[in-house]
Amino acid sequence: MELLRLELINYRRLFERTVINFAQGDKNVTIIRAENGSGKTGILMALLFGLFGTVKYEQFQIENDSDFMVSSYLLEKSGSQATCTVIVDFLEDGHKYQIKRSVTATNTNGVRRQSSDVDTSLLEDGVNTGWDKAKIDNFMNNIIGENIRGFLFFDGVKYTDLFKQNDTRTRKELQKIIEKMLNINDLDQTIATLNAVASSIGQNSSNGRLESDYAKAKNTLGEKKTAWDDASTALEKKNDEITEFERKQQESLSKLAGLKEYEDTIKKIKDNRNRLEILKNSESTYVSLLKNSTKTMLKNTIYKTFGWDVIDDMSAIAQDSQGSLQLLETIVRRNQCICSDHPLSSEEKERVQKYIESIKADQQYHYSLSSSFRYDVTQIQDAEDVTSFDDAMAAAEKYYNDFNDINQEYNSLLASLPEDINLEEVTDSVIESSSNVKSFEQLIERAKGELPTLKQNVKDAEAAYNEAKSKVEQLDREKASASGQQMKFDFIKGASKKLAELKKRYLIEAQQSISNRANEFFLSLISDADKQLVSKMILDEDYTIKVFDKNNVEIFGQLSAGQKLMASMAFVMGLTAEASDAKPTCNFPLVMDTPMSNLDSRNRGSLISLMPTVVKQWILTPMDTELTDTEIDKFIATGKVGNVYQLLKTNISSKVVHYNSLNEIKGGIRHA
Amino acid sequence: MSDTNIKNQRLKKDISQLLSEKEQHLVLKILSEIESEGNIDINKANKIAAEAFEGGDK
Repeated sequence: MELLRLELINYRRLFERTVINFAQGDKNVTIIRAENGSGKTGILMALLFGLFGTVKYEQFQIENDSDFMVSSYLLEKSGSQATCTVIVDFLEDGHKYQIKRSVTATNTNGVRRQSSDVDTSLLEDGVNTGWDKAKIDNFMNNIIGENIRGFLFFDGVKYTDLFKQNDTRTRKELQKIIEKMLNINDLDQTIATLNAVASSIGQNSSNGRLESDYAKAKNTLGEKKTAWDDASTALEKKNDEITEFERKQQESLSKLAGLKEYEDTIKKIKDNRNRLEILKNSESTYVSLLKNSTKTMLKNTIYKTFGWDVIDDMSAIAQDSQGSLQLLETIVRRNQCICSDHPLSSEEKERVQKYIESIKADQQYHYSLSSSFRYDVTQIQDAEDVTSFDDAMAAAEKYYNDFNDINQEYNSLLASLPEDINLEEVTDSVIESSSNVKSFEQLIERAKGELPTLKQNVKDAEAAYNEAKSKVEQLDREKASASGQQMKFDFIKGASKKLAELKKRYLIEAQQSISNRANEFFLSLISDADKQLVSKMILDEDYTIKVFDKNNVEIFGQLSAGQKLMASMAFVMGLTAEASDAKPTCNFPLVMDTPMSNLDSRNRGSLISLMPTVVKQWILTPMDTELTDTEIDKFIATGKVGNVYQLLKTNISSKVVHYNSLNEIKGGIRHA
Repeated sequence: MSDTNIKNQRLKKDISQLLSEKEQHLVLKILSEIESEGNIDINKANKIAAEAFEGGDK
């Protein structure tokens, strides 16, 4: 199958008629970049709905096939009824098809109902096939069966989950997928039918002993089958139990890692709290020091400005005024002016007296000032142990800076802790989680210790069942012989055995081929550093994905989430390549929703360069955060990107915008 | 065998190589019925088996 075009009318958030053309041929990559909530997963759902009439996939969490198809806005706007239509054009087996599916929703007094009827039609090379929905669905299912669909149209998160649980159910699912993929899933029923036909040949023979032995053997076979089933179930349960213990152990380990991280944070918080307390206590010391040093500073400033000069000047002024004072006092005493002999008038005498008083006051003032400064300067000189203002200021500033820094760190550390973390309980939780990790470790070890016995039980039970089966078959043959139809019996059983061997061969070949292909892809995808650790990845005969290190030790469980995703991707590539070979007329498209969200930049690069060379078409709906300019450059370097779209959202709707090149979407999503 | 419409061409080819013509008649008829109908009635299977067996090994 090659996807050509998707057309959406009234679909979910996309109110406008929307057309997406899928890249084909040499440029086989279609990118639809979107931000959260714009409806990128809706594009994947639309494809599934359009092609197969169903979107009943766990990851979409949708209850009904056609739920939420009709745009609620348009339904509201139209008043009573609106129809959503999804049209997909594709190529298959040399023909061009157009499949069209429509669902109608009604709005009665605000109650929305979406019809469960899906109007479906299929055009083959432009001509209506006239087939009904069931026939069209069957036709589509034959192109891509439901099991493999989950791999070809997948959600990144769900995808990783599938391989997280490498359990019995997953392995059985994988076997079913491969059988369907190889188109040999009907062989089991064919083999069972042949056996039933062979068994019915000698039915109700007239030989009493034979009939009695046969009844007993059938009874024994039933019992052995039950015993085998029970033994298998016990083994499966134990394996599931181990998987569950490992999951819980992983949970405890994650919790422990988180708590330990919190523990460090909490230690820092407590340390900061103590430091803040100490600083708070020393605040008064700094304030008093600052106040004292301020007084000192004032005095110091005068001293620094005038120095000893101020004292000398004051003394000189006082001393200088002494001569003037003596002269004036002589004038008063002699009662005559120095330069003439006439006596002083009373008025002149009074004025001279005032001068004398003034000079005396001035002299006193300057003497006291001089003496006061002398005292202060002496004080300053004596106070060598008193912190200078600059030092006090620097110390105070340091105090406030320290306080603010520590307080800021304290608050941000507090904010970094989850709300439910209780500072005082973390240590207890660490102890509890450590104990849980250890407990699970012991449980896993114990459970794994039981596996060899359980496996042996299954083998023994299987051997007992096969023995009982041989007995029944032998009696079947005897009965057929008794009725003269042994040759017919041998003929049918012979055909059945050959068919069973053929099926077994197909499965082994497919398993080995997928394993080899997956290993090649895996080694191409992982980093050089990982290649130093990992030697190979295999899908073993039990359909378990295993990854081995250089010492041939299985390490799948120890891989990081990103590495597991790469292993999963490699497996899907192997599966897809195998499926394409098994059905050469049908090269499958790979449609991936948020495929790179769990990958680091290097792994994204590997995927981007490898995937377009492996699959016929690669359609991906990445988030804006996983398709940054770095990834865009890597895509451009492949030269494989044919079509580029972005889903842009407004408050109530989204629209798909086509771009001519990847360069146009660089710099993140820009809203109009 | 030409009167059956088995989808899996590889399977059809391998059956033609590994099984005798009588066995092919038996297996492909039953497989074809299961493929198209989803199952097969035991009486019909018996009839096909009888026809195939009676057909003689060529």
